[in-house]
Amino acid sequence: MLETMAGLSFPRAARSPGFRFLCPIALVLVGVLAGCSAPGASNGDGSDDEGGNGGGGGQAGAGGPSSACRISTAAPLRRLNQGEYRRALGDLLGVEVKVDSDWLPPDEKSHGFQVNTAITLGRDDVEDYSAAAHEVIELAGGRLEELAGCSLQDSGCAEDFVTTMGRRIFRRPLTSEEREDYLGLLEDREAGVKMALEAMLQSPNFLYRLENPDEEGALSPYEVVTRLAFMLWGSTPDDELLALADDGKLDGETVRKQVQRMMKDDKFVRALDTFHEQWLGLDVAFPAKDPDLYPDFDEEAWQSARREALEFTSALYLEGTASAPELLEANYTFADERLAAIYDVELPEGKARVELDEKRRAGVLTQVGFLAATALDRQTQPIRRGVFIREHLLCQKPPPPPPGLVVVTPPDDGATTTRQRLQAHREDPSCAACHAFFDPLGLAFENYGPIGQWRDEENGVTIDPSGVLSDTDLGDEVKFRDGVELSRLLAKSTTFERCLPEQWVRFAIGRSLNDADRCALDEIMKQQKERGGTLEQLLAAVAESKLIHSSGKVQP
Amino acid sequence: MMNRRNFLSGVGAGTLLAPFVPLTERMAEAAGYPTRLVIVQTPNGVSDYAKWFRCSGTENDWALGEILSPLAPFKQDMITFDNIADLNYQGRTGHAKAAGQLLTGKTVKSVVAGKSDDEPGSHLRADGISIDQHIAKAVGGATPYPILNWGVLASQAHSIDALGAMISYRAALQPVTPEINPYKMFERVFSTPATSDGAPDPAQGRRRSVLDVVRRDLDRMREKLGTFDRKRLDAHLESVREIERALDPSNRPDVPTAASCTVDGEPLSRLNVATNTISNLKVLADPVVKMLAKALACDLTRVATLQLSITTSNIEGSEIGWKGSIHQRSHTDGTEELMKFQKWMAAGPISALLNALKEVPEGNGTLLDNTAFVWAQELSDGNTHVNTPLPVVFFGRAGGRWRPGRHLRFSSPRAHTDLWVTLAQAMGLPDQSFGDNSTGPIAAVG
Repeated sequence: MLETMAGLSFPRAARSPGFRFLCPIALVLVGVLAGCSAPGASNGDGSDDEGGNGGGGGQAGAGGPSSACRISTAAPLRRLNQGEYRRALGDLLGVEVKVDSDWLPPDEKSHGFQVNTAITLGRDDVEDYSAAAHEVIELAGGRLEELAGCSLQDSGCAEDFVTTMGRRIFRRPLTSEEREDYLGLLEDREAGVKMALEAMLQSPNFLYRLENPDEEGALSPYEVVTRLAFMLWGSTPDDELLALADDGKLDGETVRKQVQRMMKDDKFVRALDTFHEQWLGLDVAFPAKDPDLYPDFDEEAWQSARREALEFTSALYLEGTASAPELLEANYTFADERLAAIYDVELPEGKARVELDEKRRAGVLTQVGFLAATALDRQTQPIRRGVFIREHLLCQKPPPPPPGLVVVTPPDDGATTTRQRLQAHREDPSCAACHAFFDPLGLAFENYGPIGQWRDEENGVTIDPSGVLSDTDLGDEVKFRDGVELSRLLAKSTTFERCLPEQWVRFAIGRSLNDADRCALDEIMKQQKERGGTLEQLLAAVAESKLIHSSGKVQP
Repeated sequence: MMNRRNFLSGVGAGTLLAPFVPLTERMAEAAGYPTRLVIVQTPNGVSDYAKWFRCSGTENDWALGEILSPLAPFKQDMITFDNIADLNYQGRTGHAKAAGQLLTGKTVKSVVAGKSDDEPGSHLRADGISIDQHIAKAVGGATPYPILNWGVLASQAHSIDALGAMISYRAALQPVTPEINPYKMFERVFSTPATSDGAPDPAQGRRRSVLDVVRRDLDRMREKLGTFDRKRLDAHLESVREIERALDPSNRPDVPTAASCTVDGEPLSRLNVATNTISNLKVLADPVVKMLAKALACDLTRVATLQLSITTSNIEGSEIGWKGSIHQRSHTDGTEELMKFQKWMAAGPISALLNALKEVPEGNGTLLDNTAFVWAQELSDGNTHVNTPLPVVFFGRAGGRWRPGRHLRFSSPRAHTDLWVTLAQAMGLPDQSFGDNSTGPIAAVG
């Protein structure tokens, strides 16, 4: 996490007409820029090579011996999402960058993650980027010379600085054409450096993650380190990664060491939080509850629940001993007072970790965040919960409902349970054909109400959370008693075990896996087991896999 | 520059826009007054259409439904409809489907392969351009802003359906997120060279140089992309070009610098665009409505959409009759909350916008007379997700093409896309069809 140093902030830009009155965009100094050296000192200085395959080997290291596997599908062009944009700017300038959400173009989810692979930008969106780039560079003002390490009045210094920053911002050296264009802006002696940086920060080379795999599907070393950085840091590669790309030294051992380094860096937790927030569906608007029934579940309580889930999931990766099943089995969490009230437990003195009743709680599916996000204001949504589990935990796709179906949660009649009200789903064969696939998985969690609170009854009727789990490697008729038992079953299944790395790949490259990708996934599973099977080792195996280090040819 | 008190305290008639002598006289001499298009959408439906929305009576002697009753002062400015239908979904949709089909008249599909259409997060997108964007492509070149897509508490963060809740589509599958920040509306529309005194501004020159380099980067990158991604970059490129054109002094349109065409942005910088309550909607809608009227009066744009709240919004409304989320309250049989919500919209921001347009004199009439103004809702019964009959009303005379003060009832369901063909023709386009199912313009409006 970035640490902010209190009291240091930049003066507001006086000239900028757009920001006379407010500060939707702000910078906070976070200390000396790591790895900030004099321009051109050690790293590439504007080589004309646009990131060709350098010294080679960029894609050779990963994937290990079974390189018969070949990735045949290119990843879509991804535009940085708001979080990546803020963090990349912060890492590039050595400051924490705060830009209000409504001052940046919207994000769009595909395949479960905010990868921005479909929507286009309109004039308002481009104006947003333009204003943000202008304002950030204005605010950074005096810091630029500090970053440059020389006087920007000196034209040699200015040229070196623009070239060096260009390489960082574009995540590769500038081409000769680009260099000419950007250095051309330096003709404006007064504002040229700022103009060049401002242009770079709204250039497609910064905003989009372009990948140009060759005929064999090989990515350039710059593209590889960019994938790793956004996957493991949620941000742009640092100078060390770019230097390795310059040298083309991305053999298996180097990649392994870099992945270890990146996962030990403070920036790692940002990627963990981003991944889990999206994977667990916690990146949604506050799921408001009926204030008469749940007066304490306000937006702050919801934020507590989100923090709880992120703290819990990050801890599993960071402590280095937990394996994937722990996500669905743990009977402890990190609760504050608001959540302790919902879990009906006492907060232990001076400890963040709270032990929960193992008969009632097991992992993320029994946490307040997931349960509250998948419930209306007075009722649970078992179908939504069931579909979520199929998609996010088992990587399965439920078939679409018949055309023209009106999807409405049956109203609460005050006398029956939700399961009883969904009876038609079981009795009508045309419904049951599909609903048997996901309804039981959601109904298993009927003991948890709209804010995730435990309940034995609904409308005075005892809740029956039992059911049958189908369509996993465990078989088609695996009976479970309740949500806790279902969680433990899922935790054991290979279907879940293989889905988790797939979710990480979707997060990293913005697409789902297809049949041709399966052998690369097999390799991940093998590597992970050989290394010890922890979540940390699983993620490292993903980061080193063919799926991250190669691509398919871009279809014309 | 107009002072802050004039701008923000101008609640009653005349305060905001008087004295209004602006461009319009000059313009009228040259080419007559342009016709403007305004589409306002309010979300989540009206609950029981027959009970709360439907008008009764005959074409010339009719009574407004409950929700429309606050609009009685505008009865001679409006055309009410009955039996307008979305024929694609036969009235069976969900929120995102309804929002997407409203202005496009096209079916809505999931852009994520393998996702079903009705589940949350399936990224539903309409498969065609929306009528506002279609018209803006034809008439937008005459003004600094071809189109303004604005909203109040209408961002992704206010909706469960995220981008699926948007109504304007620049192309198939490409929803437009409305601008919801009044300060940015001011900044983009009222503090650009379009309204400056024309003196050379070094900052604008620099911005053009910067954008020139950005455009060259876009040109180079697009060559490396596959078909789909190249289209995405082309849209980005076109947006940059549009901004460049607006910054080019030689393209600068002849726009008035009258006090009545300026806005004091300072108070807008303090508004909160997140808190999702009716009380806050009221605070935000006031300056937005006034700026929108100014942008139209001063010919800064001729086409605008305004999303007041957003479909599946959790907006809270204890001030006017419900606790908690309107979307969740709407999922109750026979709910009155949606009626209260829509009636409040009619009495509040919609009346305010109509008044603001009516206060601007143009020739022998008003700006409202030269406007084709639509209030539309994406759903009819929000609880069951039925969107037929579609609640929709026209206001204004569309520059003399419409004859308001009447109620038009169709004996058999009339495709809602025929309304949009009617709009296109009101704006001078030759179109005979739009979206799916249209059979031609509704001649009876004239």
